[in-house]
Parts: sequence; C-alpha cells; structure tokens
Amino acid sequence: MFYCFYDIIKKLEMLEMPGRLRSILSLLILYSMSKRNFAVIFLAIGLVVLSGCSLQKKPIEKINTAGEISQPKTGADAVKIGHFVFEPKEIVVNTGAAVVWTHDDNVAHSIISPGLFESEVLQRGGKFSFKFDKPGEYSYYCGIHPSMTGKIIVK
Amino acid sequence: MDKIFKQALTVAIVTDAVDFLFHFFLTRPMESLTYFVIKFLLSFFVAAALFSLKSWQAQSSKKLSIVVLFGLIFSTLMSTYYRAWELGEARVPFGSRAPDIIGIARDNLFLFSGAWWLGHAMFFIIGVLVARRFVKS
Repeated sequence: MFYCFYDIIKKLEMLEMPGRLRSILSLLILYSMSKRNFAVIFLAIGLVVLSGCSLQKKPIEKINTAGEISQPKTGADAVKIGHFVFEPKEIVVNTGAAVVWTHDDNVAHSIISPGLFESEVLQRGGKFSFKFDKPGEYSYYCGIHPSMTGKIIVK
Repeated sequence: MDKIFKQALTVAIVTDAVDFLFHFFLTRPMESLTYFVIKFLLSFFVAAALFSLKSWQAQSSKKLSIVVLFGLIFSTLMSTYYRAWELGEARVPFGSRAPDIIGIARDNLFLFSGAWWLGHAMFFIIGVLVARRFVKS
C-alpha cells in the first residue's frame, strides 16, 4: 500500500502542482487508503489528473478567443481556423468577393452556413472558399464544434 | 414522486451542472446543448439502474465500490456517444469532437483521454453522493 502511495506522490510532483494542494490530496489519498474508501481514492486521483494537469506550465500563446474581437475586419477575404477559433470572427467583404477559410489547427473542422454552404471536413492545410453574390450578414459555425462561430458581412 | 426517480433526477442535474462548470472554465470550445441533453438523459438512466440494484438497496458494504463502477460505466457510455457521433453521424475523424482541456496536450492521448474518462466518471459520482446525501424519501 505504501509503495502505491509513494508512486502517487511522485506523480503529483511530476504534475508540478502547488505544494499545499499536493499535500492536501496526498493526505486525502493516504486517509482513504487506510479506510479502504475506494470512492474517495478515485475522486482524489481524478482531482489530481484534472486540477494537476491544468496547472501544468505551458507557453502562453497569444490567440484570439471567441468573443474577443469586437471590430469586424474590413476588406479582408481570408479566415484562419486555429485553436478552435475562426480568426477574424467577423469580416466585411464586397459583394462578389470570395472568402477563403484556411485550416490551421490540430483538430478537424467544417464550416456550415445553414441554407448557404457546407464545407467538407477540413484538416490542417485544407481550404474552403465561397463567393458571396448578395449583400447581407451571413453567420456560420463549425459543424463539429457548434460553439465555434463567425460572421461574414457582405456590402 | 418515487424515491429512485428523485435520486436519479438529482444525479442527472448535478452531473450536468458540474460538467457545465468544467466545460465553462477548463475546456475550449464550450460543448453544445445536445451534448448536455444527452448527458442528462444518460446520467439519469444509469443512476436509475444503480439505485434499482438489489445490492444497492440492501445496505451493502460495497456501495462505494458500486458507485465507482457505475461512474466508470457512465463515463464509458459517454465516450461511446462521442465516438458514435464522430464516426456514425458526422463522419469526422476519430477524436475530433472532444474539446481541448486547458493545460493538457491533446497529442498526449493517454493523459487526454484519461482525463476525460476520469472526469466524466467523477462528475457522475459527485451526483450520486449529493443524491444520497440530500434525497431521503
């Protein structure tokens, strides 16, 4: 049992958790093991994986997250798909312009504007374009991750 | 209302609520409404099956182990839903539906899928513990 406990503590250290949190979880796991309370052991290990891993140090990347962009870009006709975001989220194009979406993410995405267009599933490097012949505002979203949304404003 | 129904309903509400908070703060992008409806129904029925077990009702000393087992079953069923949606309905690459978890590299398949598996099980177990604590009759 103590070897198992030691193994878990080593894993906590590998996850670079703050000392206090690690101590609390360690005590919780040790106490649960002594009481053979498997549900609490499971919960504690689950917390280690979820909270501990989310505390791992990662290089900060400057990206635009959904909702951050308030001003639509004017004149641009290209949209990049990266980090689960359409960037820019809104663009303004002239009537007759073709907008090109370029996939630059680790995960597959597709682009759907109901009643207007639907792309194939795009992988990294993949492109999709659509020509807007009528003025108006056209919303679209990712078919795989529907909370990824964007808008094309055609003037 | 029947006690089992009330307990299962409580589990479904708590499981969905905790999962929503998890998605809101620790994943990107947010999951769809359909996902939460599926999760609600699935947790309700798995919880109803759990509370209907004879060994559960018999004040068994193995209750906590049974809860963990059902948590893992629930989590496995959620993963099955994800994979079935990807391969059967949307026909998109395996694993592309799951959102990113902040701080966990997606290419670390063991850690990434393990976190999802443990996470879903944990949310269900929290729901069961809350239902046991607050729904008495």
